[in-house]
Amino acid sequence: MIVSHLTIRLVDFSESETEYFSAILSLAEARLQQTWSIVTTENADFFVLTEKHLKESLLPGIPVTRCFFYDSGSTADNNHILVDHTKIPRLRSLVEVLNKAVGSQPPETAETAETAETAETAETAETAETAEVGHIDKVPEDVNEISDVPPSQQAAYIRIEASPPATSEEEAIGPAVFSPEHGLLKAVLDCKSVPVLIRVNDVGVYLDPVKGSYYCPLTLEQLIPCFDRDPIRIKPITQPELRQVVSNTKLSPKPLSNLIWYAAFKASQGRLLLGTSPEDVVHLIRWPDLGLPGCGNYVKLAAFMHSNTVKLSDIPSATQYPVEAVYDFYNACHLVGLIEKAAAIELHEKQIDLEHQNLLRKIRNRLKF
Amino acid sequence: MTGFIQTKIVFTGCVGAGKTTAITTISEKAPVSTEVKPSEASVIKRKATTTVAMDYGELSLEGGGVLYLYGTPGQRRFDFMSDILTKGALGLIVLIDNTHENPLDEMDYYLNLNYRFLLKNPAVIGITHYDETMQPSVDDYYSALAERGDPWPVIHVDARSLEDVRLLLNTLLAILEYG
Repeated sequence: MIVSHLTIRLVDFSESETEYFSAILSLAEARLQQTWSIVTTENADFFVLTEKHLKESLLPGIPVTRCFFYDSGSTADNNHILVDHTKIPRLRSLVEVLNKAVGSQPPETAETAETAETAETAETAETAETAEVGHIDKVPEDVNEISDVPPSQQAAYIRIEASPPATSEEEAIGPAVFSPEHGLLKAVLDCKSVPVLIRVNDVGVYLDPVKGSYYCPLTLEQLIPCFDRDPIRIKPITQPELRQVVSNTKLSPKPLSNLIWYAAFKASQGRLLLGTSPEDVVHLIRWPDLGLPGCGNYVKLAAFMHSNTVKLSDIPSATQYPVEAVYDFYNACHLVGLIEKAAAIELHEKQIDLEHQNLLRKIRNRLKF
Repeated sequence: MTGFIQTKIVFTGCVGAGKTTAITTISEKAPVSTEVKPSEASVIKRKATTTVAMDYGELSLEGGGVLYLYGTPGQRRFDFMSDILTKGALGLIVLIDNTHENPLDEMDYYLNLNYRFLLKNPAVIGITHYDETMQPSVDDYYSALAERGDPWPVIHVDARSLEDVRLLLNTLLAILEYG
């Protein structure tokens, strides 16, 4: 189920804590795959609670599967931090946690949830959390998890429910939605503040997220196997170290947005990005780099999406591109910030007479050889 | 744009941006080029020869039609040619040499020069020599276009590459169809 708007209730938060949370949520908005709003009503799609609620099973009317818990006493740092001990959320964490929550656990409607509420215990949640941490444990020991939160402040963390087990259908054909959760693509999307060296097997990619550049001797096509392959190793480096590497290797900077665009384009495989509905009304606010490998085949699609604000589901029939191709293109553009969602459709249909159409077709055919 | 007897596309842009090269790359017949030693001091620094009247190439279309490709002269004193060459054109390819001292100003200049034509017709911006310098970046070009309120796509190309010149033309066609 894809929804476009989710609500979150902050349980036992003071007014100022709620204000803080709301402010960070606003900052995170651009990177969230769903629209989130804080509500004070009893029913909400998700809840943020202190761990005392978990320990004491104080979850009146709230299924544990829809709760975020934080623990101000824990020192574990492998989990995603949602709020610190002062209940102030961390921007990066909020984006990861909320996006992940939607991806792993599409919310039931409040009514359904209440009806379905069962005797899920704290133990259930603990087991789920272990499964999530288990994924992280697979990463080699020398991995340095990038975090924008100083270690001294990493006392509080959120427990994330593990993804539900795959259905037999999903096992057969793969997940129906595209979620960049693996390999180089995830690493690149996650690294936002400091230069890092990302290693996928024997491939090394230097990232300078501040300057929006990456350095790698391989072409984008050569990097394809790394896009969604785990495990990855991420090592933070300093700017002087990066400069030294660049100087020694004579590598030229390449636009990071091109790496993200192409990785998402190849990894999507016809699936729509998590958090997007085919019914979403979208607009391409700027052209992607049409010189990227394969992107040149999408100029008509780009022109259409740049000139019109339309439902995603209407684009294939309007442009004659297969729906899978539209999704691949959309996902890639979305992840580099070229897509804007809108409330209303705006079509600017060109009135092209038959003669004109024929001429364009003839020129296009001529350019094919 | 009525009737569609217009079958020409114009390449414009600064000296050394690759207009003659692009037309030579795509034209199926040996292009006509009016290259001579330049007279403007700024041009002498950049090129041994330059176009003084126009470049001309063509692509034959099925059914006997022809797509004419024109390139404007790079020297500013021949700017009056732009008006003449763009008359009846389908669109404009603006080529900018990224190693130029002020490539963004150059883009601005050629968009202004063709302002009237671009009120009703599309353009595609092709950045050449991008492999030599990525400054200004494609993003910088988009920012400059956004300030002007222009929606044109920006593509970094090698004017010697058939694939790249095709991409410029195909993008122009896409805008003609959907833009």
